[in-house]
Amino acid sequence: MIVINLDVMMAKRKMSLNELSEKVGITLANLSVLKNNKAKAIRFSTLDAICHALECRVEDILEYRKETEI
Amino acid sequence: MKTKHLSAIFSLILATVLLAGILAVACVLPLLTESYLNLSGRWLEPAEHGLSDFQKILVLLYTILLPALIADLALLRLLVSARREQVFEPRSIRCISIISWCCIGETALFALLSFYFPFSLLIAFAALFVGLCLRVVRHVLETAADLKKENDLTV
Repeated sequence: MIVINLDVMMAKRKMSLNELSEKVGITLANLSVLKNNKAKAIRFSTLDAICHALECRVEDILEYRKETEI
Repeated sequence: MKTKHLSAIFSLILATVLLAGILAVACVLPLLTESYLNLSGRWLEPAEHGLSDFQKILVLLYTILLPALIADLALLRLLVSARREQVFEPRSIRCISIISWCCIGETALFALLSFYFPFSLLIAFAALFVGLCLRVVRHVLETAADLKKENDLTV
């Protein structure tokens, strides 16, 4: 499954959820859905905006883990 | 937007009027049935043992009113959900399902009533058609609810 490491990157950049939501331009509720691994899909535009705001690469945020590892 | 709002209010009023109508008919059903039978000049079998034909018709008519009442209450719930813009929720799908089952139940009851009043068979067919249409609507709504959920969880 795909795991979102958004909280790790936010902690590294010392950025709050509010701040990121403002920079990315998506609602706090949607960002929470993404952070809590409840999202079913993510748009390229959102991913692009998050990577731009957190100054990171896609693989820093998205990670593939085998079901047995969780 | 205003037309949609007015249409929802109009439907809500109609459903409430229908509910009042069902309750009113339930109150005067014996009187109505008796008057209709007298006017039509129908001769009914008197009771030898058990229920008379008049009583059987009355029981059947009251049984017909029950699914109608349940369907109308489900319709009111559905309209309230629609006003709150919660049409694609499991609750609304359950309401549609209840209404469709009530229609199918009415089909069976009107088919039984056709032993006394043959024209009831037409109402039974109409109820079956509406019930089947609503089952299709339920399936469509289920698919739409799944799509909405997926869309809501797309960030």
